[in-house]
Amino acid sequence: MAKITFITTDGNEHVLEGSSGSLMELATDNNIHGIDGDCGGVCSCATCHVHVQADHWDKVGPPNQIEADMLEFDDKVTEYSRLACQIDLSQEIDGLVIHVAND
Amino acid sequence: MSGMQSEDQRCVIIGGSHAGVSAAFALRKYGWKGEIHIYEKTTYLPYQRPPLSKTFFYEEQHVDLLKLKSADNYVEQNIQLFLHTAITAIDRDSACVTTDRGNSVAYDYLIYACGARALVPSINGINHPSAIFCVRDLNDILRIKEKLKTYRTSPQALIIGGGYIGLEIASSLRKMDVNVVLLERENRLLKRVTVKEVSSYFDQLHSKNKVRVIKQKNVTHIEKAGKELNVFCEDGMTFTTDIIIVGVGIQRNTSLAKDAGLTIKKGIVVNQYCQTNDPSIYAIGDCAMHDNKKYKLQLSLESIQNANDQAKVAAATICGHEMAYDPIPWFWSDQYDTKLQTVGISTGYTDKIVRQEIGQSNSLSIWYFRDEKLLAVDAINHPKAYVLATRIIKKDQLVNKENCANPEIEFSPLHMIVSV
Ligand SMILES: Cc1cc2nc3c(=O)[nH]c(=O)nc-3n(C[C@H](O)[C@H](O)[C@H](O)COP(=O)(O)OP(=O)(O)OC[C@H]3O[C@@H](n4cnc5c(N)ncnc54)[C@H](O)[C@@H]3O)c2cc1C
Ligand code: FES
Repeated sequence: MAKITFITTDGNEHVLEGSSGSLMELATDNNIHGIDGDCGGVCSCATCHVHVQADHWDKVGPPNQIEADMLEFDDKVTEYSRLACQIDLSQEIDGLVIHVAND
Repeated sequence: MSGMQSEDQRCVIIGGSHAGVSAAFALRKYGWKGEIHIYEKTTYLPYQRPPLSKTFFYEEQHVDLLKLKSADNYVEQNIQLFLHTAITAIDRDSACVTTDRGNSVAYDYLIYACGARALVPSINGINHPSAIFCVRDLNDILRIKEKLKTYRTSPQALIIGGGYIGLEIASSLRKMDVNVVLLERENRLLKRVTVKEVSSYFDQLHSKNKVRVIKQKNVTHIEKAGKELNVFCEDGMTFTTDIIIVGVGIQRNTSLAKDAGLTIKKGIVVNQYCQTNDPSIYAIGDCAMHDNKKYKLQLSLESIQNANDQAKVAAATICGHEMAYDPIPWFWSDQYDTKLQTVGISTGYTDKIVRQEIGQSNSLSIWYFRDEKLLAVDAINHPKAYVLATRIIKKDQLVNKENCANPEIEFSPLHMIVSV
């Protein structure tokens, strides 16, 4: 079980727990606003854009190549941008705090 | 526009797939307090369709992985999902629908999200359900997968239709080591949706992966010969195959709407709020046709983007929010290790730029313009082009065409966009 905190653009905090699947799936299963996951997790839509809290960056690490390409020219990109569909839930990311990029 | 709503109102949604399910959850997001009913005629918990021809086809995945929302989600959001229940009629005068179980259900708002079904071409002998398959819903795919499992050695498959669905199925079958012949009626693949450069990219991609792509082949009839099927083409060519998969387009499910007197053209005609000519009835997703202001076209789109975004607009409007449907359409297709992403609509373009990145032979983008205005981009293994084009179209920026056409110039916003 990993506990993940999603902070949506309205400032609300949502603490969720999950053990399998991706962060995008965890978010859509819990109706987290701003994470739509339109392409179902295949790196085609960027509707699952999140900013990892800076001091948690090492827990998740950098994006993969396609993901980095999807993010590079995105309006809301920061140095801590990831696509939530590309982050798998695991014990290693327990306690992660992420900010949802879109409204 | 609506606005007043209370707990004793009811919104009925016909069709529980991408459009219908998104609409239900969006209604709650935008503050709908009343009842929400979804009627879906098939039995599965609503699921995603794109993986059906891709990962789900060639991997051993559990159907649960496809679900759009978990069963608990519907309960938490107080959305009543009636599976295995078809709507058989809409009575606008008394504002109610009839189910195939004979129940009558009153609605304050009705969202029509019946989507489409696979088009079955009129080919003599096409009805051998044990060996000829369409590709639209989960059952179609489960049946194909079952059938493939009955062969001990690699079977022969023949695909009719070289559109996205046919090509994705070809790619998935190759991953399963099935022999594939793909017949296309036109003189190039994907002719209905894209330009010859993209067609030829995919032609080569499939040939390289040992799909026999044969164009200008019009199938006229099919005969069963023992366990196999013989396929006859107009020009006298014949093929023998174990199974046939047909992917030649869709037929929109508009009959209920038509019987109810709603205006139908290619799809159910809706305004920018996704309303039909009856203001209490909305139509969304594959079954709808909207007037696209940005592109000045009447469009019936078949995509996840369109289903989800129209669902939001219908839900917001019903809840009294001002939101019009004015999308920049987008779409993707995954085949082998190639990702195609399309943004915009290229219809009516006056010129195009084909940009092939240096040192990345499989990375290609096609930029479509009407004079100076960027209309659309097809990006093959080029997510950056897709994202940047989306931004340019959204902000109505100008492309530096000279730089765009010159792959020696680095692909970056600085070089691709004309600064003002
Ligand atoms: C194999 C496949 C791959 C695809 N890949 C992509 C892709 O990569 N990218 C992309 O953007 N799009 C893709 N699409 C297109 C996308 O899936 C459709 O645009 C989308 O499903 C449309 O959603 P919809 O809800 O409007 O219609 P549908 O998904 O067709 O759903 C309509 C639902 O209504 C139900 N229904 C119909 N009539 C009734 C009735 N009278 N009563 C009750 N229920 C009824 C049907 O059973 C069905 O479940 C793909 C489609 C398929 C089939
Ligand atoms: S869900 Fe589409 S990119 Fe993550």
